[in-house]
Amino acid sequence: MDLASLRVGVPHADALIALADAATLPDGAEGEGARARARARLSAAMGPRAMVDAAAVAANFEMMTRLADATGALLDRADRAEAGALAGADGFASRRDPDRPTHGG
Amino acid sequence: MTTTADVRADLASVHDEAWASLSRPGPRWSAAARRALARTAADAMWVADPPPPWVAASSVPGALADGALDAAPAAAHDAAARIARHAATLTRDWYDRVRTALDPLAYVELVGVVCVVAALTSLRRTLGLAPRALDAAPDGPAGDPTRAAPPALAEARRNWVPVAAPADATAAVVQALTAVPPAHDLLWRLAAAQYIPDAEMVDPRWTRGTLTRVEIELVATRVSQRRECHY
Repeated sequence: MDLASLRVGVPHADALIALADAATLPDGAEGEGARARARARLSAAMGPRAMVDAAAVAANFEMMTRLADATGALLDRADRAEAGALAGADGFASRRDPDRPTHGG
Repeated sequence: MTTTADVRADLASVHDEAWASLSRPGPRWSAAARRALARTAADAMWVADPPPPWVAASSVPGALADGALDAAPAAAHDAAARIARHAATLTRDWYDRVRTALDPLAYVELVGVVCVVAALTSLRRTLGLAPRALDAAPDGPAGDPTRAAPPALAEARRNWVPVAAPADATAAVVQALTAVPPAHDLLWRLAAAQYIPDAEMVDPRWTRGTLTRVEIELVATRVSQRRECHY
């Protein structure tokens, strides 16, 4: 499965994904422009309250991804395999598998 | 144009509380230290051209605010910056090296500070709201670490960090900050307002009336993928 190209048949999925992507962009004109466009697009599609709630979900996962990675959080073996095989996450830098330890700074 | 008035009251309230917590003492860090570490994390998190993961923030001229090293040691600032900007690159080896310089509970509290900064700064940036200044840290004994006793601790198989006993009785992210209860409690109250209240997690039809559960999970998954978070 290719997460980057995955489409799941959710109405307004492209607008939701655009907001999520823009939320992760660093400081600078490109990111600010992307966020402004994504806010306007999602607000027009789903309303301003939905746009704010989508931004809050993005904020939550900026928090949770750091929580997981900074505390070495491990999925159970079956979930690790599923994440890797089905979602293609084995290529992620944060892959942690006690059966195949990684090393580095 | 988005304004703070567009943010749900429950979400605004817990964000206000979390923001204030960054300039108050915790069990292991003083108010001044938490404030300085939050500043380091915020500065590293979104900068357009960050140093690579293996370069310590304290070794980069101008990367730390004036006085940062008076408030907290270089190892803590380096860890805060690394978690803030390069979390996906963290390894057990890296954590073991950090642990030689920082007490494990101080590290867990620091992770909590960075997580709060991530959530609060992310929401404001995404909504186009102006950056918020950190509160002043109290001087004197009021700013000293609380030294609150931790719960009974245990080594975990699902996390690098120590957790409240019994270990591994819950998911890794759920037990991750339990060694520092104030950090754990705040993070999960933020999650309830930003994402889904814990009691509703099992209901795939739960909604606040804005996003469906599928739409919520789409945004969550996309951000996690962008951050290369395997968990």
